[in-house]
Amino acid sequence: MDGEVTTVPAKPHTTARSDLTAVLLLTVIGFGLRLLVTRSIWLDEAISIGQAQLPFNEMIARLAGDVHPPLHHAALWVAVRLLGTGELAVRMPSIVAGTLLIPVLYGAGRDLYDRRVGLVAATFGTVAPIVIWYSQEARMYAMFMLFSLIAVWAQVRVLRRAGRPGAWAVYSIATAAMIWTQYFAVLQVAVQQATFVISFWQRRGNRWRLGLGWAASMVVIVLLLVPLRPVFESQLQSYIDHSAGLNLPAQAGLGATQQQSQLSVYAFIANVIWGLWGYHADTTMAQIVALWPLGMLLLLVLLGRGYSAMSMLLLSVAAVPALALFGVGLVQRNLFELRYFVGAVPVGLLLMARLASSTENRGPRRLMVALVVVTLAVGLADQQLNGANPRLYDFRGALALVAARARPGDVVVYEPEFIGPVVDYYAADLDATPLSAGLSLPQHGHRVFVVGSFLDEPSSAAEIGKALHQLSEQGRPAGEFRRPNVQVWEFQ
Amino acid sequence: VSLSTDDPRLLDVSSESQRLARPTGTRVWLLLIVNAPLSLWYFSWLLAPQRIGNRALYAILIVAELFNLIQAAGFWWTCADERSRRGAVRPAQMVDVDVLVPVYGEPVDVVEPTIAAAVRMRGARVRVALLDDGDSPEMEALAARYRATYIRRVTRTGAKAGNLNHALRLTSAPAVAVFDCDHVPDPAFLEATLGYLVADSRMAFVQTPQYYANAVKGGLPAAAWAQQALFFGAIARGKDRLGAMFCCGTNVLFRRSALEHVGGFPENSLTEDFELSIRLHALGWRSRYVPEVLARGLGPEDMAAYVSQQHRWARGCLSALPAALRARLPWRLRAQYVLSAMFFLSGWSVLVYMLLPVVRILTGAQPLASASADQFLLHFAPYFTASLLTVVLAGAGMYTFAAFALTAASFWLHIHASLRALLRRPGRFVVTPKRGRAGRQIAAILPALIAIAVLGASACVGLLRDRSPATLNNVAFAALHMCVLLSGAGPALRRSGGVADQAGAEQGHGRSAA
Repeated sequence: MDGEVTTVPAKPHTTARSDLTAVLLLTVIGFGLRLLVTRSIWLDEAISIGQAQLPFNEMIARLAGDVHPPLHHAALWVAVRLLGTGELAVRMPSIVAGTLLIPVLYGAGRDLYDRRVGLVAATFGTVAPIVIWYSQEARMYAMFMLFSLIAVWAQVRVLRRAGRPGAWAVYSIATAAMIWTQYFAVLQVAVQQATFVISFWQRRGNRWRLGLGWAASMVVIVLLLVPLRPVFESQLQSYIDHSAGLNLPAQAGLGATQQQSQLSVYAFIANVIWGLWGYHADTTMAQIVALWPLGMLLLLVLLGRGYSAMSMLLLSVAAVPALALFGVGLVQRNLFELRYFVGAVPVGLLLMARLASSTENRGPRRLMVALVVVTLAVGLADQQLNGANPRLYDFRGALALVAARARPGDVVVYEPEFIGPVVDYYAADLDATPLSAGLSLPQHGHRVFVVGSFLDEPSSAAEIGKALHQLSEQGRPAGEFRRPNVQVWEFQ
Repeated sequence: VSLSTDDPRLLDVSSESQRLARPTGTRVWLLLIVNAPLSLWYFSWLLAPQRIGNRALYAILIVAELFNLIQAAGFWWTCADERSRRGAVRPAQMVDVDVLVPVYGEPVDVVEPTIAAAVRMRGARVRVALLDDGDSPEMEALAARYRATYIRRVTRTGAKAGNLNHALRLTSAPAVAVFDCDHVPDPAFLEATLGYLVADSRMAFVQTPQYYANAVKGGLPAAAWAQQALFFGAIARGKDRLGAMFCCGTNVLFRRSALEHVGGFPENSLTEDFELSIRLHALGWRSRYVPEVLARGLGPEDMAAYVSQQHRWARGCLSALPAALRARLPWRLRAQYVLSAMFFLSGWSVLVYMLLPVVRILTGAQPLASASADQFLLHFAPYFTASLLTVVLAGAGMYTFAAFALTAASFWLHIHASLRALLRRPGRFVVTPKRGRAGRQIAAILPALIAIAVLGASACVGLLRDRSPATLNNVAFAALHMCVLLSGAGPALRRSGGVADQAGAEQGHGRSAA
C-alpha cells in the first residue's frame, strides 16, 4: 500500500546485540580514558605501594597503623607481584574496577529501569570525572564504587524477587567486599539494612521468604567479615592512640571551598559537585557553587514526577552517607570528604541517567543527555589538565626535572617531610632527605635542590623560607621551577 | 450529533478518584513537626536586625516571605487534620432533584454528553434543565432529544448566577444539582452526595471535584488539573473537616431551601460560588466535600482560556475578601476564606523574588546584610526543601512542576486582578472557552515574556560586568525564574492543536457583574 508506514518492533536479539556493541565500545573508550594518566602518584598511593612491596603478612601487620581495610592492599600486592611498581601497574586494580563500572552501570540501569537508562548511565560512567580520577589512583576508591553499585543492584533484585539465591549471594559478597575495601561503607550498609526492615514491615505476601533470605545474607556477611576483625581492632586501637592515618593532609583537603576549619553548606555542595563533575580550581568551584539556585530548579522540576521505592532506595544510598559524614564532619572536620562516600557516585550517576532520559520526547531527551555528557567531558578535561586544580600535585614532573639536572654529589632536600614516600617512589636514586633532618651543604661546585610542596601550610612555608634564605646567603640561585603544587629551587 | 467515543470525559477515572481521596494527614503532620522548627530557624535568622541591608528591599522581602509563610502555615493547618467524617447515608425514599446545566454558546458536542449523562443519574427522580443563555435552536433540539427541560431567559442579567436564579424560580425540587455544560456527571453522583443532604437538615451543599478529563492530553489542561488536584485533594479534604469547604460552581448538589434562604446565587460577583458559600456559612448552613471524581469536565485548553478563567477567579475571590472579613463566621471559617482568597495575591511575591536579583545585578543593592550566601543557604534550604516536600506528600504527587510554572507565569494576573479589586473596577463574567484555539497566544503571556526579557537582560549585564560568585548567584536566581516562567508560558508559545471555539463563546457574557 502506497504511503502506509508500518512500524516493525525491533527484534530482542538485535537490540541486545546493538546494546552489547555500544557497551563494549563505551568500555573500550572508558578503559582508554583511564589509561591516560595525567597525574603523579599521590602521597597515599606512594605509601600503599611501599606497603605492597613487603611480604604479604608483613604488609597486613603494617596495616595495623593504617585506617583502611586490606582488600585493596591485597589486590595491589598481587598487581605489584605480577606487573611491577610502575604507575600503570600499581593503578591497574583501580583501572580495572573503574572500567568495570561502565558495564555494571549499564546492567544496573537496564535492570532497574530500562535499556535507555542503562546506556545513558554507562555513557555517563565512561566520562564521569571523579570515576576516572579514582580509577587512576592506586587506592581503594574505585573498588569501593564498584562494590557499592553491585550491592545496591543486587539488593533491588532481591527485593523484587525475594528468594533468588543468586541475588542474595551477590548482595552478601558485594556488601562484605565493600566493608573490606572501605570502612565508611557501613553507612551504605546501614541504609540498605534499614530498607530491608521497611520492606519486611510493609510486605504482605512472601514476607518470611524475604526474612529468611535476609537472615541468611546477614550470616554470610558476618562470616565474611570475621577475618577482618583482628585488623580492624588493631587499627581502631592505633587510631585511638595516635589518630593514625589522619595526620596526613587530605588530597581533597585543599582549596577555598574545603580548607575552611569549619564545615559549611557550600563545602557540602562543593563535594556533591566534585562527585559528579570532578575536582576543579578553587575559583571555579566558588563560581559553580554560587549557582546553587539552579538546584532549587531541579527540585521544582522533580515535582509530580512520582518516585518509585527503588529510586528512593538509590537516593538514600547516595544521600544518607554524605549527610551522615557531613554531620560527623561538623565535629571532626577531616572526616567529611568525598573519598569517604565516593561509593555514592555511581548510584548518583544512575539517578542522573534516569532523570536525563526520563522525558518521552526524543529531541529534548537527547539534548539533555548530550548536555550532561558535554558538561562531564568539560569537567573531566578541566580536572585532568588544568594546573590550577588544587589536587593536581606534579611530583613526577618536579622530581624528573631534578633527576635530569642533579649530578652525583648534589644535595636534594624536600619539605614537608611527609612527601618522602613520593620522593622515594620517583627519585630513590637521588638520596633526597627531608629538610627537617637538617640542611647539609654540598662540597664546592655541587648544587642544592630544594623540593617544596604544601606551601600554603605555614610550617612548610616557614621551613622552606628559612632554607632558601640560608642558601641565598651562601650560594647563588641557579633556577626556580614550578610544577602544579610543587616547586623546585636550585642553588649553585 | 452523536457521542464521540474518544471524548476524554467518557474515560475511567477511578485511579484519579483514589489519588484525590488518599489520606496524607499523617505525613503532613510528620513534616509539620519538621517544618515548624525549620521555619522558626529561618525566620529568626532573617528577622535579626543586623540582617537589614537596603531597607526598602529588606521590607518587601520580609513582606513576601511572611506572606508565603502564612500561606504555608495555612496549608499545613488545612491539610494536617486527617480525622475521618461520617459517610453519606442513602435516602430512605426517592427524592426529587433538579439538575441545572447553564449554557452560553458552547458547542453542542460539548454539552450533549453532559445532558446524556445527567438524565441517566441514579438515586433520585431527576429532572434535567438546560438553561440556555445563548438562545440556540440546537440546544433546544438537544434538550428535546433527551427529554430535558429547555429554559431560556428574556432578560439576561447576572450572567451564570442570573441564569441559575431564573431556573430556580421555574423549578421546585428540594435538591438542586449544578453542572457546567462541559461536566459529564457520573451515574452515581446523586447516590454519593444526596445522603448528606438527607442526613443533615442544615447541610446546604455537597461539593465534588472539578476534574479536567482533558488532562490526559497533557500540556496546559494537565498543568491546570495538577493545580486543581492539589486543591481538590488535601486542601479540600482539610476544608471539609474544618467545615469550610466552599462551593466551586459546578459538580455540586444544593439544598433548595438553603439557596432560597440567601436569596439565590449572588449576581453581582465574578465568583458567585465563593460568595454564595460565605453567605451560607454565615447563616449557619453547613457544607461537605466528597473527594471522588463524580463529574468529568474540560479544563482550559489554551492560554487565553486559562488566563480568562484564572483572572475571573482571582478578581472574584479578592473582591469577596471584604465580605469574608465582614461576615459573621466562626474564626476557623473566616481564616479559611481569607487564606483561599489570599492565594490570589501570591503573584506579588513572585514579582518580588524576580525583582531582587535584577536590582542586585543592576544597582548592587541587596536586601540582606551581614549574611553570606552560604549562611542564607544554610537557613533557607532546609525550610524550602521541607515546604516543597510537604506539598509533594500532601498532594499525593499530583502537583507538578508544570502546575507550579503555570502559576508563576500567571503572576501578573494576580497583580492585575488585585489592583482592579482594590480600585473597585467592574469586572465582566467571561465564560471559559471549552475548546483550544490554534496558533500562538503571545498576548496571553506578554507580561511573563517581558519579565523573562528583563531577567535575561540583567543576567547578561551581570555576566558581562563580572563573574564573581555573588553576581553568579544572582544570575542563577534570574535563570531560575526565567526557566520557570518559560515553562509556564510554554503552552502559549506552541501551536495549539485545539479546535477554534465557536464564535461568541469567549465573548464576554455580556454584562457588567460588579
